[in-house]
Amino acid sequence: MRSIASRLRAGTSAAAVVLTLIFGVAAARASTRPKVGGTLRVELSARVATLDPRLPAALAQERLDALLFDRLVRFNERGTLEGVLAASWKSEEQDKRWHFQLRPNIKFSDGTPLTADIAAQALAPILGTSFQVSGSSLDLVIESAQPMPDLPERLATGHNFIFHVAADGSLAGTGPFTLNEWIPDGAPGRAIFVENADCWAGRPFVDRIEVSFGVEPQRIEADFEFGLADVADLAPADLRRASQRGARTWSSKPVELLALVFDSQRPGVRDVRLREAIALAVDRSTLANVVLQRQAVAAGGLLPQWISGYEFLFPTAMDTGGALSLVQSVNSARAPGSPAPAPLILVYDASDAEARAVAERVAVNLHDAGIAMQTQPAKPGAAPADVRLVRVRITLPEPRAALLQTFVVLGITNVPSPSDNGPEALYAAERSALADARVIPLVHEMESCGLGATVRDWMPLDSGEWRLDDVWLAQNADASPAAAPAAAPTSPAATGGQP
Amino acid sequence: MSFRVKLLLVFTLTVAASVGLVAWGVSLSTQKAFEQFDEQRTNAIVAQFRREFQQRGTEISARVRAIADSEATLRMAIDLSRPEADASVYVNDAHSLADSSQLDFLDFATDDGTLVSSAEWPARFGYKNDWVATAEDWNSQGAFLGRVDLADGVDLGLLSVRVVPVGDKKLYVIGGKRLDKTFLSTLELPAGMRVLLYSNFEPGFSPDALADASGPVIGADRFQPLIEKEQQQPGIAQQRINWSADPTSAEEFTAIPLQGRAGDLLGVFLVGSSRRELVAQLAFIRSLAIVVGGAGILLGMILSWWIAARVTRPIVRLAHAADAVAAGNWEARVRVRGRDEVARLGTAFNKMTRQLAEQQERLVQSERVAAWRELARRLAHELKNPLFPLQITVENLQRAREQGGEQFDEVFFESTAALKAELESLKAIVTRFSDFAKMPTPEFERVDLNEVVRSAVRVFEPQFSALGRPPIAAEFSLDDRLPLVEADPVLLHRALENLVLNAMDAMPSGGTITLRSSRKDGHAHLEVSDTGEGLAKEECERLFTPYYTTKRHGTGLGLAIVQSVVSDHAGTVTVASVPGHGTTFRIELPVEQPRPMQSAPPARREEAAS
Repeated sequence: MRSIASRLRAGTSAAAVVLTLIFGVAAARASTRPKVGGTLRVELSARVATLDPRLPAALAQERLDALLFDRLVRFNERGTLEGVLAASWKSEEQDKRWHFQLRPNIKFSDGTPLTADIAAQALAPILGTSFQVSGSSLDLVIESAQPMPDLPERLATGHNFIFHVAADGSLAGTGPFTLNEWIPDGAPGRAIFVENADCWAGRPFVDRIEVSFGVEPQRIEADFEFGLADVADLAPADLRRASQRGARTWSSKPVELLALVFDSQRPGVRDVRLREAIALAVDRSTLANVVLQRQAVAAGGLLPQWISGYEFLFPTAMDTGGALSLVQSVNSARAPGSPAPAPLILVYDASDAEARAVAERVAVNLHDAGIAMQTQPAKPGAAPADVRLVRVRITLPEPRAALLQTFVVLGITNVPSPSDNGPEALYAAERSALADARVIPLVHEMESCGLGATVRDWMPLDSGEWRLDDVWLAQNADASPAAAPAAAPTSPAATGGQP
Repeated sequence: MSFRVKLLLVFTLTVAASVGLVAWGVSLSTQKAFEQFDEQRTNAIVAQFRREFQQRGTEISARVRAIADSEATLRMAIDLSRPEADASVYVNDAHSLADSSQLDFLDFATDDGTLVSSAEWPARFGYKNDWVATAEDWNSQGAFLGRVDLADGVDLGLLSVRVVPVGDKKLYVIGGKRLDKTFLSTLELPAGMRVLLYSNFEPGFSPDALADASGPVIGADRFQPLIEKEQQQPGIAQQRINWSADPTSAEEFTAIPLQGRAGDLLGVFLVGSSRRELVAQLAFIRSLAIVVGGAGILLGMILSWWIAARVTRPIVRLAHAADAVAAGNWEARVRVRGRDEVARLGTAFNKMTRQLAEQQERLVQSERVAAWRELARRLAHELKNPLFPLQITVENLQRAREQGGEQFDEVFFESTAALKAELESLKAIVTRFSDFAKMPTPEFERVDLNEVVRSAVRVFEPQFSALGRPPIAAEFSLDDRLPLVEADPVLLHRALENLVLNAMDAMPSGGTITLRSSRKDGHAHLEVSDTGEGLAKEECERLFTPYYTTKRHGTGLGLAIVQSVVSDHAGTVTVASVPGHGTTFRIELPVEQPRPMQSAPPARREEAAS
């Protein structure tokens, strides 16, 4: 039988354990509770020239525009559509006419109430002349001569923001932030966004977001390492190093396609066998794992595996022997004594360092297959290139819409639309599109960034779209890497480990 | 050419040759000195290049060694030595390390030569550099020249390799600097020199492979012989390139072969030295030599002229004096100074002319006496002939007066007629002498000589066929193309009358007078020939002497008048005679009368006078 003393000791110990657990849980709950305030520092390598959604631009501008403007609809974490400014929507006449019922009582940051007419004025120049956009009260109508079954998905991505043009030409949005400072020509450029306290969806957690854009990759890496940037647009190699150091990083699912697009009218690449040889000669695995530092996966198809589900059916392995055979057959068909063909010209986006690295590696692979290729950055007025290295952002999670979007961007027009949304029909359409090797997919690249230790609730979408209005900043005392929670559960690669 | 000019030429040529020789010698020695300097300068640059090359190699080796010895490289080597090592992590390391180490080339390669990371060609990772995996002790070797493959071609690099051993594995660190225009621009060169680099990546000559510190070389084709020579047999070689016709554009190039580890020719380093300064200096020296030489020659000429004038002045005076003497100035003397040979010559000349003058004076005196005697004899002879009839007539008249009567009147009238005739004869004799003494001055005009000849003959034509006289024929051989001659027709007519009359007298038995005219050497020639007995040589020599005659009744003035007239016309008259075959008088007259000459220089006149 246990003594009273021992019982007391046991009781005391149990009470201590219970108290410890109670205080520990309370402390833990206190550290994960969102905090309002603070300044989020974002550094981007890309330069942003304007925030006007009407002017087409790259991803960096779209990310900044998302702080100021809202879309009608958006994808949620599950990949399904949800309304933002639109409360509901429906289609008529076989998807040729769409009605979007706007939410009432929403005001732009300049105080102007949101109406369907203002929304129509905003969307009309963005959608283009093939659409007729009109509005009455809160009923926004978008019409087209062709069926538009994917219109809501399209409006959920890209620059399809709703804004109000003030009398002085400035733009006002309904987003969680307003623009406080804008210096696009600086080195680097600088934009400061402050919280929109009157935002219809409620104020964001952080007070300010300071964005530096056009920053040198080395400086981004250094600033991130020294804690001067909370969200850093790191280059793949820097991201990998940061990850190895134990810093927090985030990567999206593969959402960007890097592909070779041939100008089949050019004599040098007119022969389909040569294009097939090029497709065989490229070492995609090395491109994904070494050049892009595992921030990409080898791509055999246009859509990534996570969207299409059938991409694994497209071959990605390098076959230099097969490429050499094809090149020999091409060369043997040439007239005897004819001069050696001029090197193929591969152009890439001059501002895209990763594209340059990929292009140069492709040229090295082709050299092994007996194909001479020169790489050069795209310049206005330069001689026409034989082949372009194209980056396509695939933002739509729905396979059919994504495939059609990709066809449009890549200029694939000779393939009929899939008969249905089933994977067999989509596979057949994609296979048909790649049959003539006019487009050769190389890799699907992820979007990624480094995250500071104080960043909390980083919950971007699979498509790579940031949700900075949900982000909050922990106090410094809570900011140890061990205390930092994982990012959104939908981002499996966002724990600082390998993607 | 005068003696003075000859002397001047000799002196001048001597001076010019001396000055030219000196200038040529100076120019040659200067050129040699400059070329030696240029060669030394080129050698200095070549030595500098070699030192620079060695120093760069040492620096590169040190940098590569520092990279190889770094902790990061050691970690990389350890990591890569593990099985299933992920080399992709290091794919970009070479680039940043090359930047921080200021290397153009930096490769990391595993022990089989597989590239882990490449700074100069990042896309080439995974490929092999076979040469680095050869079993060489890289750590004991210095930098070497090598070809570096790049995405856009090939470059020439100064490379160094270091090995990081980890267990039985190795990590090769290959680093280097590019040998290009940047490298060339770092070489410190003196003014007028430049360096070029030929990258020998192709079997033949490629103009695009030649560059200097500023980029591609214009006119690279000119280097083809030198490069091809290096390609065939590497070694120090030189070539001069004239970029244009301007010699200052020329450059002297020295080729230094750049060979790789296997002795293969990877490049050629060309040190060019501009000849602009050299040519400019030589041109300056040459100009200076020409100016100094010209001045020297001019001074030499002046001195030569002065010396020649000083030396030849007595001789010139002597020559002038001799000319004066030849011209009849027997009083000509030379001024004698000093005691040299020329002075002695002058003294002798003065003595000779003095003696000649004295002899001439004596000769003139004796000739004058002879002339007076001849004149007296002639006068006596001429006057004696009329005097004797006068005396006879007067004596007859005296006798008739003594006899008186009727015969006196008859004798008186006959005697007075005879007296008058003899007195007329005396008067004619006196008139002829008087006419000779008063030869008029010619009045020149354009005269047809042939017409003068014909008119002179026409006067005597009646006498050619006069009764009681053997006939004389006149033959003409006159040149119709004879131009008008500037002459006094009256005097010329008188001279020709004398010659025709002389010819008639020479042919008492008849004969032929031939008159010819012709033109030769700008002179008109007249000939009057007879077919008489001719004259002896001694007679011919004295024929023109006044009062000399070979005829019984001649005055000896006819031919003297002829000579006087011809002389007044600046002409000459000569006589040629063959005894037994006749005599020919030849007159040569200038077509144009010479204009009066300017007076002689005073000095000469003085000299002549002295």
